[in-house]
Amino acid sequence: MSLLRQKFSEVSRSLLPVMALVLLLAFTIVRPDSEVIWRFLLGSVLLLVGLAIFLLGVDLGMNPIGDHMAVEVATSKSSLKVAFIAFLLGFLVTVAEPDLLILGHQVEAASGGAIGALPMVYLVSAGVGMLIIFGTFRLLRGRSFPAFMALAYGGIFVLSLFVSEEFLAISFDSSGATTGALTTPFILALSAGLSRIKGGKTSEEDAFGMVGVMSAGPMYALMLMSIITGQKHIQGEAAEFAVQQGGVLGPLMNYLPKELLGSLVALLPLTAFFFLLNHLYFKAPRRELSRIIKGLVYTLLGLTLFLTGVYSGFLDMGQLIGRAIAGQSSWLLPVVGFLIGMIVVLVEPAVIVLGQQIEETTGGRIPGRIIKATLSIGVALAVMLSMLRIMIPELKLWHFLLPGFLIGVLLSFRSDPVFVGIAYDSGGVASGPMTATFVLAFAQGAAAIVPGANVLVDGFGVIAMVAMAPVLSLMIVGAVFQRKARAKLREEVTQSVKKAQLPQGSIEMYDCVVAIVKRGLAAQAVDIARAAGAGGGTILHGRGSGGHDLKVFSMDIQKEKEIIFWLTDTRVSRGIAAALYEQLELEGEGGGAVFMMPSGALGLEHPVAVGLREETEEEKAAHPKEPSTAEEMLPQPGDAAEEASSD
Amino acid sequence: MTSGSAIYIIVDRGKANRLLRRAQELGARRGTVFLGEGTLPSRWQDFFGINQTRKEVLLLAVPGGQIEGVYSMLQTEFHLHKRYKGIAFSVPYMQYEPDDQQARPPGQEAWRAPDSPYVCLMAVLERGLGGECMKVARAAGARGGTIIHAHGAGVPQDYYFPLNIEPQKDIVMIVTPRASAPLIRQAIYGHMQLERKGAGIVFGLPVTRTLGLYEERGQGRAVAP
Repeated sequence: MSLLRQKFSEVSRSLLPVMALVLLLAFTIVRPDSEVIWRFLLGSVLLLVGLAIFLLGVDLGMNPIGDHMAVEVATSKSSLKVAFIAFLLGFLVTVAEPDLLILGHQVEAASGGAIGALPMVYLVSAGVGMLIIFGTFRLLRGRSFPAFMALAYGGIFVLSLFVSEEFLAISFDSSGATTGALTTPFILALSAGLSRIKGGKTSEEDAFGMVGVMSAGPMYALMLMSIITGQKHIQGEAAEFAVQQGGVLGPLMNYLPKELLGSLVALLPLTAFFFLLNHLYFKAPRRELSRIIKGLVYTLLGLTLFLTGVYSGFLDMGQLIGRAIAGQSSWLLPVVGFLIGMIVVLVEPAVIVLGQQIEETTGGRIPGRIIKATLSIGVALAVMLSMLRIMIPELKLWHFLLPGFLIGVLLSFRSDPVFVGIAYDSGGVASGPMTATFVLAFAQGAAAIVPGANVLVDGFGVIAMVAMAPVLSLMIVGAVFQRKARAKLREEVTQSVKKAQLPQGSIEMYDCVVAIVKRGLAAQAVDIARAAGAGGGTILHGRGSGGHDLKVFSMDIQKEKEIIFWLTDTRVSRGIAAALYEQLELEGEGGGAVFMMPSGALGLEHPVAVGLREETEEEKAAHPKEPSTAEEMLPQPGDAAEEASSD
Repeated sequence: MTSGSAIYIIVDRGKANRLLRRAQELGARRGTVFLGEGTLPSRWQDFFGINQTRKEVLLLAVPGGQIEGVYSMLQTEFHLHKRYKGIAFSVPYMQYEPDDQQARPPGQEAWRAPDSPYVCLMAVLERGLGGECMKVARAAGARGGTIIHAHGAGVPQDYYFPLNIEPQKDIVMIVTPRASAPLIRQAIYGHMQLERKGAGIVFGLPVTRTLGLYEERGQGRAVAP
């Protein structure tokens, strides 16, 4: 029960500011019917309970499913199977998303039936599936994520040159619709699972970014569709706004069954796929399976309550606030937009899930609070700028989107890698159900009152802005983080320079003895040198020519060489060179060579070579016959060569 | 003993063979090529995430009289004095020959170039630490470096089977002005914790001549050869 209580307190901490702001506005400026206020309060309670249960369900149900799927994908033996499962996962979580179907119907109506709702849903889901394939391969192959995303966004940019502004807005909106309350936590869990299996140094940064990858899919699908079918313009008006009727409980009763059905449909394909794979491959133990089923039930229940609360309580309130403030004074609109954006995004289910996952994955290195604060400032600015856009018709959507994404993509190469993934994810994460209802309603309400604003375009644009702004703001913070880390490293380096106790050895001078020999002779050379007083050598594989090359079909076949170098005391280096030269029979054309390069007497305050170690007592005991360090040769430096050969 | 210059030439992969052939025509005694990775931070390469460039390192042994010819060939035919075309630098050497009865050279002899303008720092580290070492070196003032994969000679172990474990190594090669060498060397020593047993070594070779080395980004001038 403590887990549930923890979720409750987490949700209520984010929800209380929203309630305070809305109620403040309601009692001072908006002054709606008391019915609307009561519905808002009831909706808030439903949201609180629903979200807490939903988050519990994600922990118990969605995360383990994501883990199992990740194992199945990553351990597949054929790339075809990886691609197949990845595609199916992307397709199945998207195809049943209720928001996407609603958008499909809107587009169908607006395009006069030229684009069917269902074909559009399938197309978008296929787009997501394709991108999940690419994202999975990118992750497992370990390719650069910033470069991958730069390519993905570059492609979107090129396509966007060929589509109209309405379609651009709808494409962005569809990407917001696919990254809904259900898909985002699942995809987050999937990529966290994949990165855990892949492991390695990049496992932290690999855990994020898949949501960002996924959200490019719908944009590709819709823009390509627009270009191929030639569908450019969408006319249409947003439905006439009317405050819902039926008393305090009416809308709630209206929405509850609808949302239950929608959530059930959304959850079903993925669940079915999981149980199918479980039957075939995972064979999860009963206890775990029952936990997962419980988790799925929580997810369903929580999502239903959450969405019912949002739709019945927040939708009208958003519209009314937008209308009232737009009617009141012009300067207040951006300010209220800023405040709403800042606090509402923290109630997004996916934002809370992301915050948890960041803390878990980075082991608290990156506090979830920093991410949330950056996210909410980004969204706040996005909503504020959207309000300005509604007020000033000359400002176009792409005036913000293009530079925003461009700077974001550029910064991604300079940013802390973990932040890059989180930043791209945050776009999809922030544009969830709360944005799609409350913030959108607020914007549409304002657009309906402000003369010259287009409800359809301006309304859709808000979601695109909310999807862009956190990408940018997080990239900026990531870049600052990176800079700080670099400065820290520089500081640490300076510190360690001060601390480093350079050994004041008795040997002041070294030679770097380099031998170039035929491939295969290196081991022998090392033994000879060791006997002559050298320490360990370092071997390089090279190719080269000393003398005549073999010619095959007029191509030079170069000889394979091994280069060995040792650092030796100047007093023994000549002896080592002599020993190598004689015992390896390096005379003759193309046989090999021994060089001595001066490494020492560099006028530095310390001996130039540091880190050379003397052999330990055990090692000496293991090879008692060989004088193995330069030190041992020192008493009779003049006899180095003879001693080596007599050995 | 024949003395001369060991010229290290670092160029993009694929160029070394042609270079080696030309150098031999000009009297280079011996050349060996190995594969390396460049680490020069170029803004554009960084942008596309391809800042690890594949390089070839050519080690030429050139007798004293032919050095000038090789350098002028590098400049006129391979344009090493321009940026991003590659770099070359000389380290003096003595080649061992058995007929040489000369007494062993004392340490401060002229060929050891104790006051050379540049130093080539070589760090031999565990495999995989090359990039980390480069970061540290850059923080301490190094401009660029080349990483070469190598392996250690293997200390004979006291196993039942005569196994020689060959520890895999990264060699980091950094050419830097003599004045900044001590700081970089100490940074590597301290930060890569080379005081630990067997962690690695770092040493310097005198560099008497360079070509294509840029001291400061944007300054756009080659250091006088």
